[in-house]
Amino acid sequence: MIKKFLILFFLFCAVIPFPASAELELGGYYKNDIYLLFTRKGKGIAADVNKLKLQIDYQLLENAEIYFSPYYVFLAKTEEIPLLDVTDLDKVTFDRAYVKVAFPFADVTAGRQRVAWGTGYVFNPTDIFNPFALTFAVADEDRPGIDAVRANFPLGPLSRFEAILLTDNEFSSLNKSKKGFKGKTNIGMYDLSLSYVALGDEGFQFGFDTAGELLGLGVRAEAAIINENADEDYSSKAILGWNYTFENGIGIDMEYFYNGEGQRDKSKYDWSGLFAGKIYQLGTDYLFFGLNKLLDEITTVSLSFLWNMNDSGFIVYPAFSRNIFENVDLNLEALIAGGDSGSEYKPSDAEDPSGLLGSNTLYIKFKCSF
Amino acid sequence: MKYKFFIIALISCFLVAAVVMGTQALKLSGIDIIEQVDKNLTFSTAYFEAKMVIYIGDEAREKRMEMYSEGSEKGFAEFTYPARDKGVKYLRLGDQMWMYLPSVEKVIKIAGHMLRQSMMGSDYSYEDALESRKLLEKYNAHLKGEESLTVTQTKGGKEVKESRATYVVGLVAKVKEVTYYKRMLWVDKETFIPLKEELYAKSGKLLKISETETIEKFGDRFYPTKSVLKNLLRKDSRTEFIITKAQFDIKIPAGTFTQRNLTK
Repeated sequence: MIKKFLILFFLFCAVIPFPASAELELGGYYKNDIYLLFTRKGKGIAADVNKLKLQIDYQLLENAEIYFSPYYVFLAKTEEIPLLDVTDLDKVTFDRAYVKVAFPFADVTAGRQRVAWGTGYVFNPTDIFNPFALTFAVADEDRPGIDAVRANFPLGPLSRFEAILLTDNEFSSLNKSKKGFKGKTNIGMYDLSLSYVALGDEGFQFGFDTAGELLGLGVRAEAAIINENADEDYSSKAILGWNYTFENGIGIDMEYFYNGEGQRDKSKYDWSGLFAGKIYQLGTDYLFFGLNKLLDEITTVSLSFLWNMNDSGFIVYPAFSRNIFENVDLNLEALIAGGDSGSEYKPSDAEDPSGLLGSNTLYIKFKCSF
Repeated sequence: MKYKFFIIALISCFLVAAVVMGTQALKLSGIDIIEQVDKNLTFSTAYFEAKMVIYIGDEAREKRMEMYSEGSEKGFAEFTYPARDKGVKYLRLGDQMWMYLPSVEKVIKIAGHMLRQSMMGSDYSYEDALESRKLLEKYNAHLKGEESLTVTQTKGGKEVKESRATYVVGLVAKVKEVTYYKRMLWVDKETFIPLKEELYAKSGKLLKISETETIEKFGDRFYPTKSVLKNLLRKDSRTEFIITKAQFDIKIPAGTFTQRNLTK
């Protein structure tokens, strides 16, 4: 799909004379992330991930823009790491490449784009297009895009209707592609959304989310009912979260996640589904607790704790972030996994022979934006 | 002779009475003063280009932005500099606020006490940015006295110390929805712009001090174009807010104050 899009784009460039007022904006960042992994089996592995990402925004017309975001990742490591999710090493990858046209009645975006649904901070049950795990520990900007056509119809300052069609299948079999609708509005002090996604194979997902204020707390809720296909039973997922900031600037955040697809008995965990990327969590009940504090205008410290309430496995994630120069950020972070053997965050060798899951990791991250 | 003396004494009494009554009539109450302040600081529509310079000890970080405002209910701001913050946008409608983060491509509602958090690392909180209603709608005003205040003013690009005659006005909240329960304002007698402001919590704790360094005249309105805010809960920090371009009572493009504009 992306190749077709690029071919179309270059043909478009060749045929359409760009107006003199066309504006080109170039930005991006270079990231250098140093990882020190201490595997469950006691092995130490060092890795240095370098990522250069360009963000090219070409305003073709007053109401039309083309946006490209190619990136290149180079990884140096002390030994082979079976990185489960990294498929973009040593090559140029486009994680955004789309055309966006603003009509008076709608914004239409076609191409590789990010679709971020939901109000949850750590978990997003309704985010079926770009599902992501451990958002507090993994840079959200690294979330890959999806190939889709999306139209956003504004229905007022705070209301809109959104329609989306994934273009991951050939045109003749688009009925197998995910397609969805979402309506969003604001009532009182609350943002409210309802969504429906047809999953193909007669599967579907109903979703709901809200964010607002209750008794001085920032509150959020999100829920989804899923039926993967006509032969399967329904399952549900939901989050309930709140945040509060004290007068001294300390922020506190909690989020409970119910995962109806998971298991409360760890002996029934679907490890193969996890390794295959079909599911993101094994258990049913999770609790996130986070603290953050701005030490000064350029320094933030935070402590995140994620607890699988079913197997007592947990992740502790302390982080220190400082803007060391105008456009350069330094992050020092650690991911410490704990729990009984066989738990989600401390699997036994039988469940994860690589010994990588349940590793403790130190991160030193530099990011230079331009 | 007797009559002449009596007439002169009578005229003198009238003159003294007239002067005293005239002075009484000219003496402004706290409400009168804050009305003038509100008149200066509120507008139907406005466009600003501004920069925030955040000082942390010897270090400084500059952020630039463009802002649109309509009345006291609507606001839209987009950060244009530096690169790491470029494209961050804020929308304010009444007492609600949303933020768009380009790095995660998501609109986030800033709700509850999250509004107390620092805005873009500055001494300003989201609550400070949200605050736009007229002071008299939220506070009772009492004139505490008059003071000569020595302030640092920026004139012609140079900083000079200057003594200004001010009214000292105390404000106490009359509604619940206020960021600061109590405020003390030193209002310039000439321009009716607060030259200094102390912001207090309900407990009486002094939270922030704001000082105005530059005032410019736009038509018949005075407006502060450079001010400094110190958050006393932080050590060794201050934020300068400098308006580099201001336009009042302009036509704002349709659709500016919408969530659609956040994601454009």
